[in-house]
Amino acid sequence: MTRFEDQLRAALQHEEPPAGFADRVLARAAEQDERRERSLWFQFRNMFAVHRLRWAAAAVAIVVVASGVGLRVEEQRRAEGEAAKRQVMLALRITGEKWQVVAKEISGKTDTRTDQSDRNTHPDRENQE
Amino acid sequence: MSSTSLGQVAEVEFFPDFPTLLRQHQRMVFSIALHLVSDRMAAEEIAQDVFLKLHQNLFSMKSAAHIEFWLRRVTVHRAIDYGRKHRNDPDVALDELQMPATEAQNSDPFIARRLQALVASLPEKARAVVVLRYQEDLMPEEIAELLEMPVGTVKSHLQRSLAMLREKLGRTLGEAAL
Repeated sequence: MTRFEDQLRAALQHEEPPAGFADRVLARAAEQDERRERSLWFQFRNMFAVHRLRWAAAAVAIVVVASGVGLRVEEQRRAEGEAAKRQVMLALRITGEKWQVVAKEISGKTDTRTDQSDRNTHPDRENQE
Repeated sequence: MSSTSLGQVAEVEFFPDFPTLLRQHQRMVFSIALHLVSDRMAAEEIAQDVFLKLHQNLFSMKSAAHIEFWLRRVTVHRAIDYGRKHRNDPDVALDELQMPATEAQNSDPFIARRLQALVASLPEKARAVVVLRYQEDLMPEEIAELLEMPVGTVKSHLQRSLAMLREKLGRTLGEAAL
């Protein structure tokens, strides 16, 4: 180590920073922390707000789809009910018509039989006629 | 270096405390910046920025030695960047440079001031090498790692800078002073 190097080392000694340096750095660091926390909170709130909107949109979509499906099912059930009713009415009408025919036939046969039995029970009348 | 062994011991569980680190390293960081930019206000600004950056990255620090290395490196780079940005500022005469307020101990105050001014006149890389060698007592290998340059380049910067400083100081004071 030369004398010149010693002089250089002495000239480049550590210096004290200006008074209050550490306090100023700590104050700026606290501000930095606060800003970062605020921005994190803001990001979190933003994220939550976006999610809230998404959830709301999803809920609306679910309600719309469910209502649509419900209406469709109800309409289908009503249509099936109507069809069943029509079929029952048709069946009743057919049955009624058939019943009338049968009733007519029965009453027709009954008349003939009555005539014949009348003749059998009163042969004189037939002879008289 | 004692801080290196401390750092190695503390590597297992290292919980850095920012205010303690700030008080421990403020002289070093401020002095590196001051000797590189030769302006007390600019040096304080650089030192504040360096510590704020440390505060942001505190939990990525692995040891005390890592913090010391990181602080030196970031301060040198910030100071060099500052010098590049203000390269076109009006030239200041060497004697007008805002060098340390207190006089260097155990040395002739006039020689110390003159040497500080001469160091300030060196090219930026050479200045950084000289400051790290004679202010921080780092070996050329450590300086090479810190400045990311070959050891040979560090040594040649040192030789050339010392020769130039010696010559300029000799011209001012006369050979007898050296």
